[in-house]
Amino acid sequence: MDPASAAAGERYRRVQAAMARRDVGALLLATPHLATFASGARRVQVAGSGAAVPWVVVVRDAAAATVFTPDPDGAPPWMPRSAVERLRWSRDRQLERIAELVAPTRGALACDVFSPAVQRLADASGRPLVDAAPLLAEAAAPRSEGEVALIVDALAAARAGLRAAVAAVAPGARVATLVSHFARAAPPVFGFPLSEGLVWRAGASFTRLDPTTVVEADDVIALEFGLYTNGHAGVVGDTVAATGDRCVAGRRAWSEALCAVAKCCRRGATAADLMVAAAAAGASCEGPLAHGLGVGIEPPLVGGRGEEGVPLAAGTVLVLAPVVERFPATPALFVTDGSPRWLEAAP
Amino acid sequence: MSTSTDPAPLRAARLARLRAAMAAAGHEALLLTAAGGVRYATGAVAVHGDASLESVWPAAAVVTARKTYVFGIDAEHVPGDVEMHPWPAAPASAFADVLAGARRVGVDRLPLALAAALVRALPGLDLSGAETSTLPARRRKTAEEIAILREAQRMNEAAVAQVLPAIVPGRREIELTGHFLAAMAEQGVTACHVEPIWCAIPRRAADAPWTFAGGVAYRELTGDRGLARGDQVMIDTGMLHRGYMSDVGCTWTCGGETTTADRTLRARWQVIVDAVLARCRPGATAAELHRAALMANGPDRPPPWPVPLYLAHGIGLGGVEPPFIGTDLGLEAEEQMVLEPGMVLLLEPYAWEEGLGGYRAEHMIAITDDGFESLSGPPP
Repeated sequence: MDPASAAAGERYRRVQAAMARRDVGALLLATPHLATFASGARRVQVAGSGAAVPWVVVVRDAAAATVFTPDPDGAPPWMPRSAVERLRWSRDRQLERIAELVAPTRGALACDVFSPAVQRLADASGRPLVDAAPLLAEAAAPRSEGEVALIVDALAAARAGLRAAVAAVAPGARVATLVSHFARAAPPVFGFPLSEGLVWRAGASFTRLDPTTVVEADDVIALEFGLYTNGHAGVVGDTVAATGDRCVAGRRAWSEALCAVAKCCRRGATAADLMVAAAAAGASCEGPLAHGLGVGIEPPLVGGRGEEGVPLAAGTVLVLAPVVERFPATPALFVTDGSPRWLEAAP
Repeated sequence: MSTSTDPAPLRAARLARLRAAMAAAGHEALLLTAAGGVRYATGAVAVHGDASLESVWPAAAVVTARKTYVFGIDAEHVPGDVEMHPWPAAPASAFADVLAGARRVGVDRLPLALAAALVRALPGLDLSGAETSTLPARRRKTAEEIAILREAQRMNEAAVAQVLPAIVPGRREIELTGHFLAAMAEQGVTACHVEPIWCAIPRRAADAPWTFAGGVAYRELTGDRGLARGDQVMIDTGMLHRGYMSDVGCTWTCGGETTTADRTLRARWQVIVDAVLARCRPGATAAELHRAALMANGPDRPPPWPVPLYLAHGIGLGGVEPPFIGTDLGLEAEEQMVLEPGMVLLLEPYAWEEGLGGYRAEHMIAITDDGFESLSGPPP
């Protein structure tokens, strides 16, 4: 079995274990990356078709998730053929089939998005409908060495592309050109980019630049790019001046804050602990301080989203993104019981 | 053109349609969290891309009969006449504040926990699917929307044309994605909304055992296989330009030299498209297009599109849209889908035959007052 399929199987077992711990009988997912996370299927939706109708149903103790998809060639090889069903464009038929799947189960129904139809399904069966987010967050770790290796590969691919984009930052360069350099330099992409690439002008505040913007001589440009390889995501960021200056002072201050935050990254530390360490080291609050990484951007999300008390689990992959003196950049690390393991060199 | 916000006339036209549709659907307000929905309603540009990015940069729009609000989008990307808020620490109470007295509220992809908190914050709140408002509003495009779609399609076609010479023996399918994204970026388009497809079409059903029963053999996902001379490479690329999705599809023979089988299949595809186009006018039903495609494809052949995909679909801001023609919705439902001026359709039949392989391409049209206008060029 290829490493990506094996990793998907390991994730699926963690999802099942979390369902058992939380007495969830069926997990219904409509959000594309969450559906991929739980099922292992590479793509379950046509672009834009996803709303609140679940496309993946995980029944407790089932050998595989049931996936409703237009792309059956995206199912992992261990998934039984019977678990791969054609996507139904009729919402009524889709919901009827979901009702059939969940009827024999016991325990709560967990769902990621609000759907009146799913609410009715839960009400009719007298079962609680609960938020799937905590369950999925719990299943994000501990990652196996195989999963971590795939994430490291994705990070390396993204970093190679980012280096090319950074090298192209110069007065007169269009933002679109920076993205083009990323796309050309990143090793072959298996899957789709995490985003169009985020390019910011770092000044008194950060200004997100659209593709037609031209870099000016006195600009300091922050870049964040992401991609998928083998079903796993790499997200990387760096900052550079248009003059080519590597922003040495900012980078040094950022590096010190990074080390301060990283020291806190161990099993049991909370998001609040990380944020306190970051603030003490001079980091400002510009978006999340850190986020998980796996088949996309995953829990935990550290920074201002009400998750301050949730402890870090060993086996979590974290992308740290402190911002110090208008300088943002990222490296990723692996949380353990003790000191974290860096998954890439700091930029 | 800058994509910082959408121009005022475009926003005004969309919002007027949305509010009319809300009134018809009985929605007092909408709470939208998908990037395309937020942009349609307000013109504010959220960070596009994969849904996982939304967990880091969430955004929302609230639309009432009198006012629009945006949460979580940078000021530079929010039109001046939209009330702007940072992403709140307590989203439910912030949304409850601006929803004011509204109780019949449509939502698109609201996280379950947020929905529950909102219901607690607003006793008597009746949440329902926003699609009963958004889909009717979006069904017909304004002239400006059609112009953007035409432009988006032209840029995507140009980028695909740049990549075609790279489809040579030994090239891996996945390598073509990087070429394409770079070519798109050079056009100024960087929002990749759907994984680009560059994959060799199976020539025999046995080569595609995953195909659903009753359908023609096909692949949808780019892999790491090396291409061989003569492979029929199916291309399908969707990018967002000013929020609107282009959708370019064609089939290219690896090495560039077509065979008799390739030409036969392409000719059949053209016959099907021509038969469908001949019926594309206001008042025609989706069922008419469906039947025309079946007839042009010839008897004793399965429908000329992959299961569970379609002969045609709508398209607009943020992705594919109804109508979906040729799906499990069935002919009876398609009899009720009536073409109207301003609708934009992608026709994408797939001519496939055991042993010969396949040919698939896409053709974008806008329904006009008396027929249709092609928004895409002929396939290469």
